[in-house]
Amino acid sequence: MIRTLLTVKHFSHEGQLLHKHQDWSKSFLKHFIEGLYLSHAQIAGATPYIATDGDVPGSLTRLVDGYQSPSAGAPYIYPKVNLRVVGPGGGGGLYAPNGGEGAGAPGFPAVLQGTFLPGYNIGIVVGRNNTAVTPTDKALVDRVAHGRNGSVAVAASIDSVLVGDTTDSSYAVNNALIGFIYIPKRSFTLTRADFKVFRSGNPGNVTANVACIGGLTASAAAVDTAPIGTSDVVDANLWGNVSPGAWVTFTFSTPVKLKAGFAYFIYIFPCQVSAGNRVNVRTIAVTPAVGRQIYGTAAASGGAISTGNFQWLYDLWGTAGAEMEHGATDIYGYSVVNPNASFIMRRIFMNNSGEAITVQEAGIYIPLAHYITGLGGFDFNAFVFCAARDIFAGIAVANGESLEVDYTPSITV
Amino acid sequence: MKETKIGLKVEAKVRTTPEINKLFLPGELGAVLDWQVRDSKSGEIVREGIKKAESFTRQFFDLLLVKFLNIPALSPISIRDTGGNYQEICNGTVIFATDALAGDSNFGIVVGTGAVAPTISDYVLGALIAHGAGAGQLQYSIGTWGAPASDATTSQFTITRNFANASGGGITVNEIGLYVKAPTGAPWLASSGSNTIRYFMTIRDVIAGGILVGNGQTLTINYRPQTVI
Repeated sequence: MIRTLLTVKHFSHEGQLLHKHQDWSKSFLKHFIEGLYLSHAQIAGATPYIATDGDVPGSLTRLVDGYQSPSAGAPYIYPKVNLRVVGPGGGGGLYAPNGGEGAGAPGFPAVLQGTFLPGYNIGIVVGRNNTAVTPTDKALVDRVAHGRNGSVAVAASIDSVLVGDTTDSSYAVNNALIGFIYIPKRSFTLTRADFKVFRSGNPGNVTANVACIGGLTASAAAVDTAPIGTSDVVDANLWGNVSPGAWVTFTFSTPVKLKAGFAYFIYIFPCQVSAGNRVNVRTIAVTPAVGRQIYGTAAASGGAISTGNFQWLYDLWGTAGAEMEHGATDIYGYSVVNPNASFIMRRIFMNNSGEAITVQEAGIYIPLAHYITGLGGFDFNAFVFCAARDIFAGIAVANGESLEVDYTPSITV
Repeated sequence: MKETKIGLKVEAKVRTTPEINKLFLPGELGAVLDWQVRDSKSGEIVREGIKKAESFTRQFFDLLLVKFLNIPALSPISIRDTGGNYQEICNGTVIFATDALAGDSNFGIVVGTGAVAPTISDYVLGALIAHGAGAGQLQYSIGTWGAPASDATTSQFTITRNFANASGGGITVNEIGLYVKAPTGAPWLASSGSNTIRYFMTIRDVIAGGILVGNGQTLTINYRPQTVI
């Protein structure tokens, strides 16, 4: 059998051990079993497994696989990052290579094609919530994000692009959407989104929406436009009708969690109700051209999507928790002495947020792979899932203090 | 004096899966092993059993570390294969593969006649039963899988294989194991033949009393790796 010991050590600013929690981990989850299944059953990219119990950023169903079949056109197969636990600290990038490459020897440009996952989104993670664990937990309930920021208890502007607009953008297709790819620099709960807009004719009622990229439909334009959050309805007929427009607020009465390092898609729908009755958005023409603005013909998943090289003006408001800086997740201490074997997975968290953080959950995030042709350079080769989650009595980590979290799996025959 | 009669009622009862699950501690990663012996003509189950699998071997941890660490080709780790040789292994897509075809006893679920108790350092069955219809042989089917499933406490998937006895005589299976693949050589040269597939034992169980598979009968074995919260 294999059991895993969870050890959480709390250190003072001077490195003195203040407290040690140690107990058997209760919780390798279904996603860990799925990771083993993909390898044992050699689930191929052409016939992926449907992970219905949701990924970390949006609780989305994802296609995942464990094997890429070589072919005459792509004989070079890179290993999948499935089940990887170790990773760099902070925002250091973890590269998840594409499955197969062309007939030539792997070249530098080909190697770069893939997904870079921030190190803080892989490996050991900690959080604030002690809701009971279930086998299908999708993420830590209230994860402590990486960083040095203090909390934002009352909704405030978290991230914005307020000036520099050069161009009016619109999409003259009925019942279509127009939006942009957004990768949060810090995790926060979105309560309000402001855009600089004006109307042509009478567009009627519109909403702002947040979706996750790279969803279930492995289409050539793989944006999962089924939203994870929708704003209150806004009457666009009340907007001004002259460029450069004015700032308009979209309120999210049901706030939406946005998690740092994951790609989301924020869009207005519908961008046009009939010819001449549409939404116009102030944007910045982007150089070099990297597709950021997205427009498509359907609100449902899998609709045809195109990209344009424009950066929206936006002001995103919300609340956020205090952060802890994440070190690297590493593995060491592999020991085999009959009848036992064990190794240690470790990560250190530093609280430099300026305030105390009470930690009472820990877990492990892993990538599971599947190739999705992305938009504007955003290919996706791997998605992040929660492989383990534990809860324990809260540990109040004051500013300047740190936590060391160890998972030690051990076999006993 | 009234005659006293003493009787003994013997009741054999197969343990159900929930009973086996009670043997799992919260947080434990393990496997359930169950088997059925069927008459090949009638399909009737003539004997069956279920137990908690005893032993992941060190090779399971070795290969898990290769995945956890994404071990690169430039710094592979040495792992003992079923031939007893140490192989240099780095991360690759075929690690943990159990997709054995019919007739292939190199990997997938395998059976044997060895009865020595498992140890963590075991790297091969005590005495592998070869594939075939000759004396002492069983016919290995293709391996199949059940997709992951979960309930309120347990998550698992299933690996299944059949072993048909056309040898002419009964065969007692004493040990059951799981052999998996891993490649040596550069992991990106999967189709070119520049790397070599090796086989590693990740689980080995010894069945007390053995499983008798009569001539004309088929043994079905299920391994169900699972976690319990």
